[in-house]
Amino acid sequence: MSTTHNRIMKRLDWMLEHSGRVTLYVLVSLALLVLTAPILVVTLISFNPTRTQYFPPSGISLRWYAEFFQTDYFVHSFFVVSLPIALVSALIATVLGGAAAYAIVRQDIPYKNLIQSFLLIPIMIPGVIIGFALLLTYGKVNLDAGYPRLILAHSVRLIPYALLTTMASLYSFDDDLIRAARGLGANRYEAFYKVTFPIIKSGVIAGFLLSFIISFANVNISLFLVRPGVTPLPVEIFSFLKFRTSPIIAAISTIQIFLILVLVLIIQRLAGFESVYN
Amino acid sequence: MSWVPLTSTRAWTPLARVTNLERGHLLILAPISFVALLLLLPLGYLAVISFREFNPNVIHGTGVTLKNYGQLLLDPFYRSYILYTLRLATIVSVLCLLLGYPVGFLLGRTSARKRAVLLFLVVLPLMAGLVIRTFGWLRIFGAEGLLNQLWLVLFGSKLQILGTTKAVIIGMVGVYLPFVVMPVYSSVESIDRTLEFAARNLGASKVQAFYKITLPLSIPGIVLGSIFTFTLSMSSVITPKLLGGRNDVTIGALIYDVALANSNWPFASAMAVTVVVINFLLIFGYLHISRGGMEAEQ
Repeated sequence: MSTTHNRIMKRLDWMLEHSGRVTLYVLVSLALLVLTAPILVVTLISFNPTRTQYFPPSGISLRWYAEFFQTDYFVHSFFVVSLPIALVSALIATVLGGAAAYAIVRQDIPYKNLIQSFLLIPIMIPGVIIGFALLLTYGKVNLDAGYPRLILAHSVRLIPYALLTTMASLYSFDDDLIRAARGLGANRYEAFYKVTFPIIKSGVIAGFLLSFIISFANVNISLFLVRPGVTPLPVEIFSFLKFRTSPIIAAISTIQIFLILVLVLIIQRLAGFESVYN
Repeated sequence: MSWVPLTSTRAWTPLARVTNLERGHLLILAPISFVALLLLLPLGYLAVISFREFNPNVIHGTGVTLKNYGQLLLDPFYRSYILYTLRLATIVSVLCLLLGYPVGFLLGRTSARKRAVLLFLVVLPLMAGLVIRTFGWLRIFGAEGLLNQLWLVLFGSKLQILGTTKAVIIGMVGVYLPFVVMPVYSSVESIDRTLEFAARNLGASKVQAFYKITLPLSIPGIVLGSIFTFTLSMSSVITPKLLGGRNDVTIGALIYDVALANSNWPFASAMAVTVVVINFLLIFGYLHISRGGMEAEQ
């Protein structure tokens, strides 16, 4: 009697465990589908020769890429607006976030936790609200030039990313190395650029690349701050898509996805994403 | 000298100690003032404008009034959008949790090689950007889209998804999923695995060990992920505007329209302040509860 009971319970456990595992993999597959389907589709249709006919596919074409390079406002948004803004904003954020990380981890300053939380506020506020609040403030102080409006807004948003990546590499760093350098006669600055910086360099570069990506792809903040002639690529695409559509967008998106893919692989090699998102 | 203190030897004199501290402050003061000037101050100004009265001739508004908040909370027109937004944000958060928790759990429990691949599949779409992914859904759901061409071949009919709330929900789940995956991953990873092994040793099945140990201990990740998803959904503009119909208007989309199309900055500010307040109430509630939990444990 009790052995049958045990056998049934064991059988039930096995079924539960088995169905648990099946449920897990079904849900994970569904999640990966929802995550990756849009970018896969975008990449595929960018090589499709016709405008809307996908089935059956009638070949591979670079037509939409050629049309992108002939469309002035998209080329302008990509290379003259988004690229420089992302580079400069990422640089500012890396310097400011890196300085903050160094001060928090290495220096004897008061209220460390409070300061750290404070510097993380830019990622806790939705981008739309940061953009709108800056629209009001720029209006008040008469800041009309497009590039400063966008660069300042992006830089402040990016500081937390640079802060977190640099902090992670500083924490994984052995204090004794500095003691050794100092003991061997290096002064504070020599110890920094001969010992500390070479070791945390990959973390800092990863933070810079991550910031670059986030700025390049950002739409919610930029939405409120564009000026005639200074429209970042994602806002240009959004405005275009509100009224029409074209496979050119797929071609631009694929170029952007490829650029970001390369940068993501470099970041993963340099630092890993755990350092930022954990 | 076998051991050198990390602070300079000059730190022994009081004067040098003061200059040391100041140098440290200088390094930290730059980022603090940058964030204060470009984020805190603008948010404060936003709050000020939200109490001004709309004036078509003065874009920053005039006078002092509570009318904007009154209109937002009492006018049935706006109340219906607030209710729509809250409902949408709830549905999106629940779905993100349902799909995101398993991914975060697997990330925390799988081999290093599989974890790297899985992480890449979660992070790349996140990094690729909101507009590109929304465009992808547009080409999947559209009347001439991929799904409809497939559906036509298979069933000889067409689906109407684009322009409905369904499309908005699916699009938003795809966009905000990583914001649940990452905190869940982080909290599953930090769970002491000996607890699970102990439960298993004491006779719990794998499923029981999950429900009794892993799931309760990963609640911080669940709550944090849900807060992210909820506030991001409330303020979304792009997804409802491109995938939804005329009635799919979130508070975020409303802020965008009222601020830019109607140039009514005071009322748009009142809506933005409301979103920020809800956002911070949720975050502080979370911190309060998680800290309380930690104290109770000790």
